[in-house]
Amino acid sequence: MTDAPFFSLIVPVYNSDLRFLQEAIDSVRMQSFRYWELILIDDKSPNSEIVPFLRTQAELDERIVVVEQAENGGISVASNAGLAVARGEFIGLLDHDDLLGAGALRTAAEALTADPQIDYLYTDEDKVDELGEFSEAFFKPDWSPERLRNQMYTSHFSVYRRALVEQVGGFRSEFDGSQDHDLALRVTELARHVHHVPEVLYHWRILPESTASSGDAKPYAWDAGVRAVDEHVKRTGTGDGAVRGPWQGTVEVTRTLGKGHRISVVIPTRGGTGTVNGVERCFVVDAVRGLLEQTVAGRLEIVIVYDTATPEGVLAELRRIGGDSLVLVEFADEFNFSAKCNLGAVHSTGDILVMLNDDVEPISRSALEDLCAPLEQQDVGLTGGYLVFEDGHIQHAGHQYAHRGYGHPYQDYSLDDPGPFCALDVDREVSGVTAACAALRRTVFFEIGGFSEELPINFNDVDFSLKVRQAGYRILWISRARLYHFESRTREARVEQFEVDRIRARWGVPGNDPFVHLRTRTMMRRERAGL
Amino acid sequence: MTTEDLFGEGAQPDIPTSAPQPAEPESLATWVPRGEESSEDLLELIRTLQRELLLTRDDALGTRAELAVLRQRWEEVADGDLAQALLRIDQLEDQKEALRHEILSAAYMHEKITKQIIDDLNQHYTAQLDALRGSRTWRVGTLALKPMRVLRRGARQ
Repeated sequence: MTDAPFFSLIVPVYNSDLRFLQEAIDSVRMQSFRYWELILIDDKSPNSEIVPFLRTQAELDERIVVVEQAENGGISVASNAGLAVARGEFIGLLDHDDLLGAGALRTAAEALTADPQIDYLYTDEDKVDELGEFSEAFFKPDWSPERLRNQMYTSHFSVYRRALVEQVGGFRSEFDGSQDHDLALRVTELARHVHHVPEVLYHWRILPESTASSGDAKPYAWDAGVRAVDEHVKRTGTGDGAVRGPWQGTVEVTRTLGKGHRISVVIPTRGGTGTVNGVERCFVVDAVRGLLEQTVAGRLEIVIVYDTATPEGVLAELRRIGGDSLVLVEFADEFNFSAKCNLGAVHSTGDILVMLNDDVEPISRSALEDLCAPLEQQDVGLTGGYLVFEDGHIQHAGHQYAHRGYGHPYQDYSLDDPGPFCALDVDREVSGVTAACAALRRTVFFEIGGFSEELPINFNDVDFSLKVRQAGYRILWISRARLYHFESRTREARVEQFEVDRIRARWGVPGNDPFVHLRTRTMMRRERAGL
Repeated sequence: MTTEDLFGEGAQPDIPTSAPQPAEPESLATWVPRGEESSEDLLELIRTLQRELLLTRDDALGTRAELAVLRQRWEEVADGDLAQALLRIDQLEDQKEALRHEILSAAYMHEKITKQIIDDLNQHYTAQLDALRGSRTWRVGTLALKPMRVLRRGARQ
């Protein structure tokens, strides 16, 4: 490889188990890629065997550099000491008991050579126990800044352009325990390109005292992560602050919707009724009732686009409970979900539009605000809610466009389950969201031409989402925006061939989803039932 | 307010007031404000135009996306067997066309030359006939045979 990048691998060492440290060093020395240096920094370990061991390693291989700290300063101070002597164009971080996957540096080097603008690169990872058994492979999404705010998902193996690390001031001691999360946040704020290598190239050692085995093994690390995110969101204007997330190690970005916004909720309906939890109800009436209890109710406009056949009694009830917040628009044509949404949009006046099915009902009072608040970031084009079936199983946690099809991953999970690697407890970028509950700025709706009326029933939300992303916006799935979706009670889903042909003509046949790994997909209920 | 009010008599009379369908472009193009429209009329017009705008943008974006998909598909097959086969088919079609053209040209030339030869032959034949008829031998022979022709005509009568 000509013009190959040079890596400086920084390994702070403190009272390490020499067996695992030896394995870590060996995993670097066994790399087929030659252009690296391994910087081992002893952080004044009390164990007197450590320094002689490190010196011996340096004697064995001239690419190994040993730094001996005069006093114990913590992981950030030690890492900065390593950074100070690093010569590489890129630095890689390796924990003293972990293993670098075979071919890790060569694979990283190939990616960095192919794209000279990559300033930060991360790979997939798994766990390795004391016996060398591998488990818990984490197949990560492609670059997902929202998820990084909610969770240090990039973690290992991470490669940083050294100049950028130095530019941001290196590691910060006040974030020890989550110093890598803090660094990743600060570096990615400035990085030109962030690159994901979808290969397991790092093995994180599971030991009783390591954070790999349990998120709450180091509560101070969790809090340091929260502080790092808190600073980051205030620095970048991407949130009001940060608090501990619902699951160990996760972070919740707090956001409130500015008072100046007016939200128009567009609900297409035909006034259908059904039984939920044994109680007969008119969906649209209950949906409106739920909306009027939301924290943003005072800034709400509810645009009901109703079929001509909608019972007059339903309309009367809507007028009674909706009052001035309600706008009723008749739709006299043949059923076309897209046309109804578009019609509702042109009759709305809010600067934020929320597309809501009539069989969707908020679980929490802040669901609508949680859904809309991220839209204040101008690069966020669309947000989607966390929808659950009546029985508490997940109906929607973001779309997945892969395997030549379009689906809802995670439907095997239930409401309180954090999902694989907390995917269900963190806000994150997704390929698309369901139109059953989606929010966007009015300007974006018009920029992308609303819903395609060529797709009257299925895939209109897929097309809508793809148009949003094509326009350069991010789509976020918001974990806190939780709502019930009594799906299939109002309409039986049946896909027509022309719909498949139409969506494929526009967007091709789906291959790999950038945000949900192939193996994450779970079968949809209809698929499990053989439908 | 109906679309008819906006766009004139006969223009999409079946469109319900509350559900303005996208107006025909020519209807919008020929619509002229009369100065009597209420704010509700104008609001409805704006909604109609906004709906038209949505459809047009969707159409434009969709077409652009389709083009990108087609380009990508072409690039995917450009270096593959299918592309080579398509290229070979193109080449063979070109060759077939060239051969057909040559055959047609040859046939044309053949016909032209044949015609030329026949014309030349006829010309030579006529010239030789004229030369023969104008010769002294022909004239003497004709004079010599004249009494014989007169006698033959008299015998027939």
